[in-house]
Amino acid sequence: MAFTPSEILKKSDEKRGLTNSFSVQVQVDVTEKNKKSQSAFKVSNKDVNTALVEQFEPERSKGRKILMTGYDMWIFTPNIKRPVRISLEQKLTGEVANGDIARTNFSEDYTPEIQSEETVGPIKAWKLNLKSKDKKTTYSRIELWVSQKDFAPIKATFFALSGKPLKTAEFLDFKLIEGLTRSTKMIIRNFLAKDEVSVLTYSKFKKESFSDSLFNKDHMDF
Amino acid sequence: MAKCHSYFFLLLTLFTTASAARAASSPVYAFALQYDGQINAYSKNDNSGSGQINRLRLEQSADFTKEFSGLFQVSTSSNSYAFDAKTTYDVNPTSQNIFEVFPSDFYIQYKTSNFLIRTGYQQVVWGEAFGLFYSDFINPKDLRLSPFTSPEKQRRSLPMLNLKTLFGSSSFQVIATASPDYDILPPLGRQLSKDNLAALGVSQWSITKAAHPALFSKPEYGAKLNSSFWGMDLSGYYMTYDDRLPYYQLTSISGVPTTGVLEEKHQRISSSGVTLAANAFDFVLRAEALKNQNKKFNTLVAGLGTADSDESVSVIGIDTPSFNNYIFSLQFSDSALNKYDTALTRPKYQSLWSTRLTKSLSKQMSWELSTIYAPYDQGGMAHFEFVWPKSKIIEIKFGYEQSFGPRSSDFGRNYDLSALYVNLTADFKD
Repeated sequence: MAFTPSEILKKSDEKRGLTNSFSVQVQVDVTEKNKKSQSAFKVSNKDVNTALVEQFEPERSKGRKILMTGYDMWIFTPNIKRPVRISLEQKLTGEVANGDIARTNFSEDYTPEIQSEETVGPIKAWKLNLKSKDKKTTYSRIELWVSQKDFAPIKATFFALSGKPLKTAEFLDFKLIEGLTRSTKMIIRNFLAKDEVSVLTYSKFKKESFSDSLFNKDHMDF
Repeated sequence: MAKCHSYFFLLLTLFTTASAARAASSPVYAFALQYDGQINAYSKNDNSGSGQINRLRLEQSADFTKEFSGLFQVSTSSNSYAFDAKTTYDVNPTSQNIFEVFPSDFYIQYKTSNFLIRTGYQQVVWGEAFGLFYSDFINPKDLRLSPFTSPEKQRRSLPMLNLKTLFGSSSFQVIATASPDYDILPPLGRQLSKDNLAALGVSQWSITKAAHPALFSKPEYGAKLNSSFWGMDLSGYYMTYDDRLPYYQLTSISGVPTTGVLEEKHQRISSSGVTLAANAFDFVLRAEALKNQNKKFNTLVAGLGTADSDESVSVIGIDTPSFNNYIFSLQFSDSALNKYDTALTRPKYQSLWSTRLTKSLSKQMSWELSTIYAPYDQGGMAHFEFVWPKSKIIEIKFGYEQSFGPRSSDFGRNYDLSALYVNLTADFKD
């Protein structure tokens, strides 16, 4: 049975997170020049376009929040005491952009085409070329390798508007969550400085319904 | 009287909290402590000030129920600024200039998914501009601190009732303060300096702070409507309140050497304005336009007088997208007086240019280079800061701050306080 590039991408997205309203905790371990640091976030996703990220580690950053609705993004810190509009590609920590955590649904943001069929290790994979639908997305282009066996994302390369590769990602540790095997670990590496690595570990996936008000920017100081 | 206000509100908040705690089945408490210390090494050799600012903040948060909670912060602060700036201002500092205990955020609140009522000491921030307080006028500021100090350290909490309701992507907020409070100023404030008062033939000055009005005798009211649509945030607000900045009345000149006594006064004014933040391609635009009505300013010719005028302020700024981990922000602001008296101690137009360049480095480190320049008197400041998160709880900052321009200028008069500094912040939370 032949699948269209859009179908492949949608099925691959399902392996990276729940599609409907859910919450998840993300631990980010950053290694830069042999120095390690750790951050932790709770992400509340209402849908693919709407997410609230609340930081609870380290201590000095506790209470920091990032809200994304569509391509709009705000940051709130207990110090500033007001939501401040920012752009999606600003860095959250290490190699992780705000959009990497808050906006993870590729099929919403990118138009896929099958570039080639390749073998990644023992796995036969489609190599998808994802072109940004809108200039506001975190990346202008992504190359994504998807397993032909079960649509699991294997790895990706992210490109800037200039065409320059920015970073690579690997999707690992697939576990059965809410009836589907999903990746619970993503390793992001700086394309030029390979020793700069951020490991995102997802846990406590939970289907949850949220009030619309939670995603109003003026709710951030409630 | 100010202390009476503080005690009244603290006791009221504590009483309500105690009642709530008794009513709650299993309240959840959390404790935190923040230490913030800074040592300045003044670059001007003959300034022998100790250059120390220390601040300690104790915090307890309490969730009585899902809807009902409280945050109780008390801060102590010691700031050697008044002694360090003694040669600049010729005003004898008092112990009140050095050590203070004050409530930071100290409030209880009830919230539902789209409604918030919060009462007690709190900070309410309106506006979009960075580093400037044109629309952020509600809470008084400690203007002895450098303009590059984080706004939270400059802002002082104010006892107020704060109601906010959310609908769709909009919000409506109403605030009412129980009594006004005023900016904490360097000894001779913003518009009056030792230099422009020299014309009165006085060698030393003494400032009498404005008395706080009795509780509820001069309440202040304001409201703000905010909406987000089409990639922008648009808000409009109105508030009637006591001007946080003073004008001065000369009450006496006596003694040898001559000492002049200036009394701070605060005019009841109203501010109305609009703010905008919008994405344009990968840039973020920020703008404010506001009108302050019925402001009072000092005049100075043969004597010290006053003149009334409305003030119109506009601010426009832009943040660039991140390029190689650099982000650049540029901002221009202009304050214009509608009625101008040539004897005023400020010019008709006061514009400011400010820039900020930040660079994110590895290991969560970053640096920031900021400048501010006032074309009306050719004064300005430059500031460099390197931020080094040392551990999960400790952040260290190294910086340098330099004032420049004529000594009579608003920024240049702080030339002697240009300094290298080290700042350490430690956050302990349970």
